Amino acid sequence: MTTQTEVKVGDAAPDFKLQGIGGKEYTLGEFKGKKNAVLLFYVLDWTPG
Amino acid sequence: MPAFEARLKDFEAANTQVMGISTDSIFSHDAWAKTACGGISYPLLADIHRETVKKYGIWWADLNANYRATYIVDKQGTVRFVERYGKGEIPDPEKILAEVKKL
Repeated sequence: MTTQTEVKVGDAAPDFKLQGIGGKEYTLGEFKGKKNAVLLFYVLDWTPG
Repeated sequence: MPAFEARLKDFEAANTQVMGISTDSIFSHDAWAKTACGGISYPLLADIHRETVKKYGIWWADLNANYRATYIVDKQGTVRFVERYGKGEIPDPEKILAEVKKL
């Protein structure tokens, strides 16, 4: 088992660099100082929600 | 996810970027966004290496996937709201929007 540390309120949000549809890369850092961000972690595309 | 699409303008008005993240591939995202959801215009990001979900502590080892969760991050990069979901539970855009407006 890998030990994971859950990110909690008050923590610095871990940055990421991920590819979206069309191959464009997004980072969380690009919004720093500019916008808030809502990160929706969802499961398996074909399930509801 | 389509529920957030419907309220996207309200999130934008609150100076907030909505992003969807999962461990599915971008090809799977594309098919899903176009067909099942009638089009999703906010970024859907593919964490195919599971690095991001592990950083957030929501990697589901048994399925090699991620748990459902929502994080609100403020402009300074600080986590201000966290919600995790069990089976069958989904995020409520109205609730998340209300939390964003508190920032």
